[in-house]
Amino acid sequence: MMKPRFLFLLILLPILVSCQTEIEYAGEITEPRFVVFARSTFYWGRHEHRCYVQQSTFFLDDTPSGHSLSDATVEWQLNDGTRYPFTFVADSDCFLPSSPLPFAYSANDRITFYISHPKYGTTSATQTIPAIQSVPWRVVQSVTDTLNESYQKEEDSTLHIVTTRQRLEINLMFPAYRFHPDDVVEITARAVYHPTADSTYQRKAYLSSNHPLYHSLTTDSDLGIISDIGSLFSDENRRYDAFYIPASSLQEEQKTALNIYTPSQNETANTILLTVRTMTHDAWLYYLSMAQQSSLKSSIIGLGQEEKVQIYGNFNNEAIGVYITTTEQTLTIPIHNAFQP
Amino acid sequence: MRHIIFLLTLLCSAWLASAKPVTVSGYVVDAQSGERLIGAAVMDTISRQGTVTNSGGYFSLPLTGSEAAIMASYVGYAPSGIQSVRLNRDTLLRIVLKENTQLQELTVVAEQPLSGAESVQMSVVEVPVQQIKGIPALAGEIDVMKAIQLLPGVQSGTEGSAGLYVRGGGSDENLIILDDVPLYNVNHMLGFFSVFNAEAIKNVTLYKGSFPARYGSRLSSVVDVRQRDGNQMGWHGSAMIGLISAKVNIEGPIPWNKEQVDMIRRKELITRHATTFSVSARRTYYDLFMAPITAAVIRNQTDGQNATAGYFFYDVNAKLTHRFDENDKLSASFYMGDDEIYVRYKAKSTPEDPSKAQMRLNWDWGNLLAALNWEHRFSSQIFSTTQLSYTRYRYDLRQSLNYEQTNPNNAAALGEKMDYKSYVNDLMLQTQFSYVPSTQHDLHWGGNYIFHRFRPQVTSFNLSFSGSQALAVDTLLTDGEVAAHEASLFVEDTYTPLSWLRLNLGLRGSLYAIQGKVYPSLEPRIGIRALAFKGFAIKAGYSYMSQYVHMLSNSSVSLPTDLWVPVTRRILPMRSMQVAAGLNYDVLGHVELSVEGYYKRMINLIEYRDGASFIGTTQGWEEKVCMGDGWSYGVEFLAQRKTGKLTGWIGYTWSRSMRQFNREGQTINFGKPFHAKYDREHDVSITLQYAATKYLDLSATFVYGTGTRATLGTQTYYDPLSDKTITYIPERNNYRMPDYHRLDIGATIHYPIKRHPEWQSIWNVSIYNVYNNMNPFLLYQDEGSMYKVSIFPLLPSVSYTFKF
Repeated sequence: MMKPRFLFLLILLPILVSCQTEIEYAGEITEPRFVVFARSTFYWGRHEHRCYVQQSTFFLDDTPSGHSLSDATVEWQLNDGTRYPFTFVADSDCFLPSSPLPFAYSANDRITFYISHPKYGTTSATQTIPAIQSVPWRVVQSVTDTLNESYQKEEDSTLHIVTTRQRLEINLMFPAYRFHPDDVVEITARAVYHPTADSTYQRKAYLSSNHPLYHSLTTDSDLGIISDIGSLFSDENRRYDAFYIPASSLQEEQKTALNIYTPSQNETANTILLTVRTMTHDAWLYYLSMAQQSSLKSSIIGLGQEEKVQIYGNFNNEAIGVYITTTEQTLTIPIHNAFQP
Repeated sequence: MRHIIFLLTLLCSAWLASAKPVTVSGYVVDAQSGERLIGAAVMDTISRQGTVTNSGGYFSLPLTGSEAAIMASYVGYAPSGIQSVRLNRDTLLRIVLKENTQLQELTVVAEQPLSGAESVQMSVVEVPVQQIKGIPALAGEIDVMKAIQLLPGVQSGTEGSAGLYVRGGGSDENLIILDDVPLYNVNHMLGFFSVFNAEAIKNVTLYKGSFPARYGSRLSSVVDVRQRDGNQMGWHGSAMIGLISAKVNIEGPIPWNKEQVDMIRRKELITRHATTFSVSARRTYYDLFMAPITAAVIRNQTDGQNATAGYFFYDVNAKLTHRFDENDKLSASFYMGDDEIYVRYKAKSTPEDPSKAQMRLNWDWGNLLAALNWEHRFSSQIFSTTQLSYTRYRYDLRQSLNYEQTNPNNAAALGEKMDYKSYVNDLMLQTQFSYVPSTQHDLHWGGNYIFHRFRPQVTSFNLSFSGSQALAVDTLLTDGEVAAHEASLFVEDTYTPLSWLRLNLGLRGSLYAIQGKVYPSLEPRIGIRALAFKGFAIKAGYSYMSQYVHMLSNSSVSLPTDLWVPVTRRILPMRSMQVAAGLNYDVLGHVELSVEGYYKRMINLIEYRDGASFIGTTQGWEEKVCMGDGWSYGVEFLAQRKTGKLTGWIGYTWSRSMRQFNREGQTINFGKPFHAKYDREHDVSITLQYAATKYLDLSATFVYGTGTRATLGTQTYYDPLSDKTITYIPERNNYRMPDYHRLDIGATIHYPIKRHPEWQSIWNVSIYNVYNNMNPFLLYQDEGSMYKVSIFPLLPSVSYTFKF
């Protein structure tokens, strides 16, 4: 009986040992590139601006990426006004304003970052300031949603299981205001828990709504990548991490019903933090490309499964990176504890 | 008086000189089987007028004069004909050709029939089935599509793939027809093998450009495959057993009466009310012996868990043909083929873990084709073909999972069922006419109507979970069925105004109606051939093509989840315009040399947005794709020898293929041009077959191709906004994979069986990838290193065939 077994192994052996080999990279070895990231965030009554300047590394190089170029020159300009210098702050590993920046600005004003470096030359990017305006809300009801399940364990025995969620239904009213039509508004929520007087923690809360405004982003598939957690659920049960609304849909006042679900079983949250963030079109493209790339887990090359994603960038002169501006406001909504009388 | 006689003689001569042509028509058939031969060359060696047989094996040759000598020839057969045919009336002939079993070179005779140089058709290659059968094959599986991949201008996908990428086009841009019926998915086993069983095939023709007006609906190529009608002279067949599959083929006449039985015994051809059949079947049996091995290994490795898995595919080809007489033939064709993957798992309960789990998965996909075909000869000059057909491609994935945790402290139960289906089917009516009114014109016209039904996705999902978090879901996700109507008309004429100049002028008009939208298309086709001297021709051609369907696929291998979807209101039909020019030279009638250059422009191509995936769903597919343009150009060289002891071909292609997607809201690669995935600059293929002795044939194939393209990040950087390290992609398809090359060799030993000399034993031994070159199937990066995964090392195979 040895012979057939030996023959079988002989046939299998080339297949088993010759499947995978390490190879040398046969393409061009490219030089490091200029990498710049900048962000301007506007809140009620304050704003933050920061800029990160680095260089990339060749992908087969062992040198870790993320090394800041502290000798770069960074300037900030509102519309066509004065250019304000930024200074490198080692603790933050980024460039921050050397002096307070002018506060008098309006929606759709333009901000430009200019960055130059002896080795990489000059690059710049411009963004508009998205609008920020209050979004009134009103609690309609705060209830628990009870789910009852039973299953037939044996012929004469049934197992009943009951779980609960907290559900907060609010009316959220978007006023009519002139966003740039390419801007995108993001709604997210977090549930805040105070298990004891001294401790607090937060968990992501989920959103649900049938209002067409929350489903008005044309690319539902893009939406699904970064917001949808219940794609196999029917529409009425579908829950989202976030809603994205194109600003072009907000040219008139809109009153919307929004449900917010706490994620945890039998834990009672005290507060919901609802964050309304407006981002420019460039910021939306950047976040979309980041979400698409993060959904791709494989580093497989050549099989073609899912085209690799080029991360969106808006700095000129072939610099890698993006400058984004957002406005942000957080609504604090207390929850009446449905488990308490 | 003398003057009157002289004048009368002059008048009679003038009248004779202006006499209308007489048509000599008929069929060219195989002497052993009675099969009508497609593309056989027929020539009058006196007037030098010639033609080729059509798809029904029929020719029509208008001739003037008083007498003709008709000679027919076909690859692999000794030329034969009728030396003296009086041209006093239309004549119907049957020319019988015998296979050339002689090993010496055929004598070059002056009366060489039509050669490739003389045909006006360019960018076309006919691959004799005998040559296909001689090519060394992967795992011994002779494959028609793999043979076509060896032709210049045709690229394959990844290692082992059966996809065709013709002159820079995509794998869904090929019209693959079996007896004039389109097949949507021609791949088995992830594309490693095609659905064509070589035993059932009679003829294969590839058009890469300069398409005759009778063909449409795809941009890049037409692969015209014809099934055998069945042997008229007696029952014959074969049975083959190889390393991974077994095949059986049987064909023969079905006699209606005793007279026909006697004729069959005497090996005479039945010419009236003759019925033949041909049935071929193939099945892989890898699963039959691997499934128990898999189950045993799993039981051993997992302490008694029960699991088994398997994969197989099968094909069945069948054809029934009835010849009423020389004027009418009715045939019914049938094809069915499926792939199936199955997995069964049942967990074993133990006292420590009393849970129970069971999982079943069945995944099958395949084609079904049925056609009824009527050929009618109206007269010696007019021939028609009418067909009613049905084709369907579908796949069905069914999975069920049951889990029960019986521990009373942690009781839970999970039940899940999923059924995921997709299909596309066509019902088609088509008719074609050919009319040869004179020596200068050869007319064809016809039309078709196709009713398409697409159901890209139906998913039913049922989930119930009872435990600490109870859940119940019952969902049906479905794209609605989409119906589309397609109709076309065509007319073409092969016009020979001068003896050295031949033109093929055609026009095809088509309409596609879907979702209330109608897409019209007018597609001119032009072919020109100028014969510089005998055997040397200059050719040029132009064709405009339209395509109304797309295949959604992310992968380089053919997956059953590759979905066919129609154009929509937003996704427009694809169009292509191709010009080609070239030279053909027949060397002494044995070797055909050709060089051809082409330029092709394509619009409304679709590509997937960055990050888009179609694994298993078409939901929102229109939003996941971009429309853009493509262009390709190249030069192809081919030296082909079809007769003699040494046959085969040497092909070389230099080509480029680019894409650009820069329409508003539909940009890829930031709107800049990028290389197509299968942009292979150099492609070489050498296929040779040598009849060494009466009983031994040797063959070898060598292929070399520049590596295909892939997208590779070349820099990494840290993104502080997301706190992630990102790989920078400078351009789509920026990296060239390692070059591909391999050598295959084979030997076929065939000898008669002693007691029955007409029966044969055939042993085939072949080695795929003789020098074990590890061609890349895919690459991947891991911790700063790159790795290549190969799947086909040196692979020997052996098969035995019994023929009777």
